[in-house]
Amino acid sequence: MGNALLEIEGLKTQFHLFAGTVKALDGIDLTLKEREILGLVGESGGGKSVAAYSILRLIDPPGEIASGRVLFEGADLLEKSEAEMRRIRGKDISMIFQDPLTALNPLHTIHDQIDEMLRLHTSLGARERLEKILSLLREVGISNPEDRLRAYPHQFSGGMLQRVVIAIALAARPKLIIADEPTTALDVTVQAQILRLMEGVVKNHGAALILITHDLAVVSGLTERVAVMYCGRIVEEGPTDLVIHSPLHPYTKGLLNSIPRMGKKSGRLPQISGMVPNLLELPDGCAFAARCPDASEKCLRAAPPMRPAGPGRKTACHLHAGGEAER
Amino acid sequence: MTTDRLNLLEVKDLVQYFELPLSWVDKCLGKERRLVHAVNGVSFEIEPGEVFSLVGESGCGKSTIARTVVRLLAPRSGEIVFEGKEIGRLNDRELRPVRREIQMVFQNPYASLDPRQRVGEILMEPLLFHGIAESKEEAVERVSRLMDIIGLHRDQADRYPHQFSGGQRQRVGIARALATNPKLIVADEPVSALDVSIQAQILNLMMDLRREFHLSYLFISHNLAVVRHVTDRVGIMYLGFIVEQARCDDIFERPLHPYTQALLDAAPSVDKSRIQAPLSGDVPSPMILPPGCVFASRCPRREKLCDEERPTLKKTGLRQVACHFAEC
Amino acid sequence: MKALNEFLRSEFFFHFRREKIAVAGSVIVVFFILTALFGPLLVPQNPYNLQSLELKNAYKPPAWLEGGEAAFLLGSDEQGRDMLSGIVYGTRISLFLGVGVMAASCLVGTLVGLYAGYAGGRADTLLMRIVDVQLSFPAMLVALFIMSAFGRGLEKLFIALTLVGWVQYARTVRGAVLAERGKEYIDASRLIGLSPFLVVTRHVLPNVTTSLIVIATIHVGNVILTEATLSYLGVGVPVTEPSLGLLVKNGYDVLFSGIWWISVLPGCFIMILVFGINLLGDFLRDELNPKLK
Repeated sequence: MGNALLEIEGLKTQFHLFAGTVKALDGIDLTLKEREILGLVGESGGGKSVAAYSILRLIDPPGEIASGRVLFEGADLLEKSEAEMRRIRGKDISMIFQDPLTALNPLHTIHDQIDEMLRLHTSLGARERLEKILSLLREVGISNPEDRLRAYPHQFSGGMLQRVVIAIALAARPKLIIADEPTTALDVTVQAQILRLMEGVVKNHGAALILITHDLAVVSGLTERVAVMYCGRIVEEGPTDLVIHSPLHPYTKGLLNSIPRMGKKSGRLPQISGMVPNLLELPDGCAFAARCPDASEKCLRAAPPMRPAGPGRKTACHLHAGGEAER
Repeated sequence: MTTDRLNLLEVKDLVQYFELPLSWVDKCLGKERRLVHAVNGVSFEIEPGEVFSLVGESGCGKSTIARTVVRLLAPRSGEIVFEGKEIGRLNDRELRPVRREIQMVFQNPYASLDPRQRVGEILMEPLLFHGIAESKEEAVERVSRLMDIIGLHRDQADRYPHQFSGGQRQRVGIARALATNPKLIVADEPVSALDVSIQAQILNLMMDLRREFHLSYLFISHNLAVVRHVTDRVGIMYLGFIVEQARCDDIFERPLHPYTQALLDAAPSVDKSRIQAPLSGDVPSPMILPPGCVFASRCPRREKLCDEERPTLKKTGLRQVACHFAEC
Repeated sequence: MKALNEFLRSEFFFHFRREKIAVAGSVIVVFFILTALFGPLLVPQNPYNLQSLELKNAYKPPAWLEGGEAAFLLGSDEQGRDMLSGIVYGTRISLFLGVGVMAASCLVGTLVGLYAGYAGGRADTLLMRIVDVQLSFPAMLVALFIMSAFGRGLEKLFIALTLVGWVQYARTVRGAVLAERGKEYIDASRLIGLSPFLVVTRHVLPNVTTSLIVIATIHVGNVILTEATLSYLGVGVPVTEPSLGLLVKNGYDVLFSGIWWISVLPGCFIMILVFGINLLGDFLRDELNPKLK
């Protein structure tokens, strides 16, 4: 595959709240190649959405990006001016949000909202823009786009709106699309359509995609690589097939086990005991240690760093300190 | 169903629709009232100790059924028979003893607990109101026992809901439902707002309680995989109709209705290597029901007959299906 | 003591301390409250006691100006009334009236709003149309009309201002009730079997208090301004018990003949007081409004 499009190094984002400082991102490293589809998976509090917002520098006070580098095509986004960032957002990196209804402006027509993106980030003339809008809408599966141009968001169903949002995200031909739980608000049969669509258009446009989701099942059908986050850190990263079929980190294992499966009926679902620790009082050692069935004394003392564990795989777990996966 | 066993709940031909409010300008202009047909003649039974699930996508009427069964809503027509007694027409006062027996667990643990009440007060309210605890001391004792049952620490009864995580709040919601020793708990998407690892905990807790207190559940969910693990029988809903009803294993192993099949195919799963999208389009609006089969517009097996005639529910043993081309 | 400690460690107080504007606002408000409560014990005169006034002391300028006397720190008016004493007593009237009218309006408006919001239907429509009609007249005009019809007097002023004040509470509370009653915890309380009255008093009311606190604060400021205006127009408090607004009016005739302090000083006090209240109100609105968080 191509060169690195996005390299994140030691990114830390913190929120200074009344109760203390929340380390929402506690030093993550991540590399994304051109045209790659990467899944970023974790439960609430894992830091996956904060990661997306940090890449785009959309962290508002009381939050701040404390340290690290976000190299996009070799240039550090954290050192850009706000004006430069505004050009990058939408043009080079665009975002798809969870709830399409709030992502769109209810007072503007679909046409105007896509057109705005084109006017801001391309040099096309009026007629070319209209052509482009129609072809984008066709591409995201909206039939008779000519008739829908003047419609307002409330006249669309949720699935149709998410298609419009995808069209807007694609409009300026970005190199990277970040989709934050794009199908969580949708019905199952519609979710399937949207995921298929996203896969298709992203490949067509030659863009890279970071798919943020809590649902490992969504990731498994769509992404090439996956990173699993827990308490602001990436705990496991590798090719999606391998991570899902032979997870290394106990958290990934627990997460996979606790998903109810269609295929078999068991009396009790395997569950991860306990709950996500308070982000204000993260332990010194591994954040997962308190819930981990294999935790040893070492896990409570020191946080494990990310280490290579087999071909293309990494994990942050003392059990895999040997450098390769062990049984 | 064995005939000598009395059903705990029987819902017969339940119909529920809502009128969209018209502004008085529209009324003066003589606009016709617009109805949302949420539930269009649904029947099912739940035996004592049984878990029955209603599954479907948004707008299929499953939550409306839940809210009608617990009588937050009155049915427009049809019957709700609980322990042999029709409760669909009872007024608030007459309902009071029934409320003890039918309780509800809500979807959103962040909205279902009064933010101004301590957890102990939330649990104590039904105990004192129904006279289950005769004194304050007894109520406190019972609250402590409830906290033990749902796996929270007794001391946490002094805290406010915002001091708990989503999973813990849902435990409190379950404890509140349990407080009056009900026979039937209606659970409306009880885990869909929770993280995956917490979902499993809550589902396991609910199933433990079922055994311990011989509870019946009416379980509402959009997630077939969740349903598979907790339920005895399933009804699949689409646009206010039950299109298929069967024992849980039958639904998963031999789905009859094309919509059931599509739901099974569309659900993402770590066991599937690719995502399938068996259906195109969205669920149509429940304001104008087509004269034929409601699923026809999206059905891969659609034929002329489907648009002309609405299929009746065919019944064989424990299976029911409403499709012209499916046989039980 | 324990409650105070809890408050000092609360998130609310943490945010409060960070907002300098809110601190400034509450310092002003507390200063005026203390003035209203204890000021009369400290000032040299009781301005309502006409026997204590002597005409030879009329039009004394403030102490720091030429011809000023230490006994009349802020000067005196045309009847020889000490301005400082007048202002302190006037503040007392303005503030007490503001708080009293707020409390009464809040009570009436909340009851109406709770009933309309929870009961819905015809009662709701009827009550809200009354509110709409009243809101379509400027509050000042309605108050002016009532006062002109019934004449001056503190108690009449209280009634008139309450009559124009309750509507905004009714509307706010009704809106909050509609927002709350759609939430699942209200469903849950209905499922216990609670009667509508118990649902409203135990569960709805406690959850709409935050929106009440915000408008109540701003309302106090508004009442003080309205009262000042009415008194200035001569239909407010009686001349024997001057509020801040009446003091401004008293000095108006001589304002341009160099005797400015009689009007300007009470005017400044009104301005600072209302300003402080509004600063506090703004902070509360930002802090207690969950939508802005």
